[in-house]
Amino acid sequence: MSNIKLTSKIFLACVALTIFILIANVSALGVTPGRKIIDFSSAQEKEGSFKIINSENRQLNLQISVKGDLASSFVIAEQSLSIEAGQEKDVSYKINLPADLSPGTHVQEITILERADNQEGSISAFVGVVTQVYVKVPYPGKYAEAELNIESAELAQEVSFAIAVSNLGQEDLKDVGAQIEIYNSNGEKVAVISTNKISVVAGEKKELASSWKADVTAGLYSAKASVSYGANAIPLEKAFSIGEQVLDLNSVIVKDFSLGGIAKFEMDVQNKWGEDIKTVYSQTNVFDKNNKLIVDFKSPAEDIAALSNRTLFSYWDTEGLSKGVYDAVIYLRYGEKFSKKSVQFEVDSNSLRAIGLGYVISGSGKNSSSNLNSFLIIIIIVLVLLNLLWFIIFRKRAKK
Amino acid sequence: MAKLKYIIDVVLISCSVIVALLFFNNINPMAIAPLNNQETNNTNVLFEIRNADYILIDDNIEFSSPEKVFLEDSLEIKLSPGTYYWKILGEKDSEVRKITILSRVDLTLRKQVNSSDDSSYEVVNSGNENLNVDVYDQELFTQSFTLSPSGEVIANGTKFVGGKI
Repeated sequence: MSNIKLTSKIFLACVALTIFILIANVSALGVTPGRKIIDFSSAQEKEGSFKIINSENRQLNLQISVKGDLASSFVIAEQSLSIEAGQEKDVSYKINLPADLSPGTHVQEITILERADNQEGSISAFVGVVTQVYVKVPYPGKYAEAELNIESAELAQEVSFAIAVSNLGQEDLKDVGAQIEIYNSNGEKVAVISTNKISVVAGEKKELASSWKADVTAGLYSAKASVSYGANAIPLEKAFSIGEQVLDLNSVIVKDFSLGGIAKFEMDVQNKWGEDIKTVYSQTNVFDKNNKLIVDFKSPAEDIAALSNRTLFSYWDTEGLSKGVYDAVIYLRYGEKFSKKSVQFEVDSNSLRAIGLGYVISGSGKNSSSNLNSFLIIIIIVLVLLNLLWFIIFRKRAKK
Repeated sequence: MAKLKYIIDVVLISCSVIVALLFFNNINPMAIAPLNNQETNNTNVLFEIRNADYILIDDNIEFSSPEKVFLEDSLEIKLSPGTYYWKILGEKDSEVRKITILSRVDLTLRKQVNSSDDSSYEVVNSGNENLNVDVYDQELFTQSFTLSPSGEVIANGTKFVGGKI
């Protein structure tokens, strides 16, 4: 009995020690937000705050310091503080911005660092986090910066272009617009589109948008945009893709087949992508009537040139196989992607024929809410008619 | 006879009102979550709507480059830190709501228990921003590396300071 008690005590001691070691071996610190942006307009005092998060199971003693060209202008409410385990604390600060700040972004970093007196147990390193303060000083006159974002699309679909324009100057901008030229991978211009025109007030950020229908072959493209505001222009460039890297299985042919022998599969594969696709191979899975995998065979890997066809060869030893129809799935693998086609193999003594079932297309669910709406509309119409009918009868009877 | 007429009248009008209410309640898209002007550190946001299947999300209120998202009733969408505007696309558009994902810089150090090196640590980015981590050894800068959210790296040092890239 005493042995059991002793064992329990040792076990509890081990658990306690493990928990202590785990706690002592972890150090964590957080701050939010990671960045604050202050727009400068004139010499003034600005205020801000950040939240320090202690997600550890012990008290943290912290030191706060500021780095940057405006460090001496910062007044932090608490430069030294302690936060209890699992607690958060808001810290406020003031910045006395001088009147003669140069245009551009002045990056300041507020560093929150563990103090040396935290160190206990076996952890002997300090953890620190930084919250940034960007002081944005407008440029004299007209000045803007822009960023081009492109949402790639499938073939024959609309490609969306969005240009975020930030007015970092002192003057408002009018008639800001952009022209976008689209080039294919051979450097040939395939389209030119224009965006809408907008006005952007000083210190604000707005978007220019346009779209283009991708009636082109799949592949890589680049967009060269020129954002104009007054006599100024901002050049932008970004690459994007049209369509997926798609491989299509056109046909599967087995010549000179004899049941029990080795079947040679010739798979005609088409590369619909506007670029070469490297190391393409086929993988064929054949299943019996119980949907159990009976064979898995692959072809050697080949490169397929852009917009061209290539035959992939693979082999299946049909020894012991019976006549019949077998379900199969053929994968065309390239990189980490694949295309998949479900087929059936009709096996006879002297022939093996692939019967295509087409690609599996995942269907979207039916719109149940619109069905319910239609049902309710019908009921409303019926009820309105019943009401009308009832009141007509009622009035006729009342006249009588 | 008059009582029967009265009963038929009441039944017809009641049914009409109930069905009409059901219909109007069913066609009006309803935004449930997240609440308007919500601020959160969590980058996985649960969107919950009724009577519609699509929402539009954009980083500007003009919805000039929106993302159209299909969701049946609810869906968790991963958003980067920033401010977003969203509305429901239905028989008629819903109100526009705003959500802000606050950036959070969070760094965790775990001492390598099995390592013979006393200053070897697993450095984990526990926040939601890409971080630049500066490593110091006895106040001497030794190296710098970047960590994406949830990313981790083994490094030697006595001070690790992480800030947004």
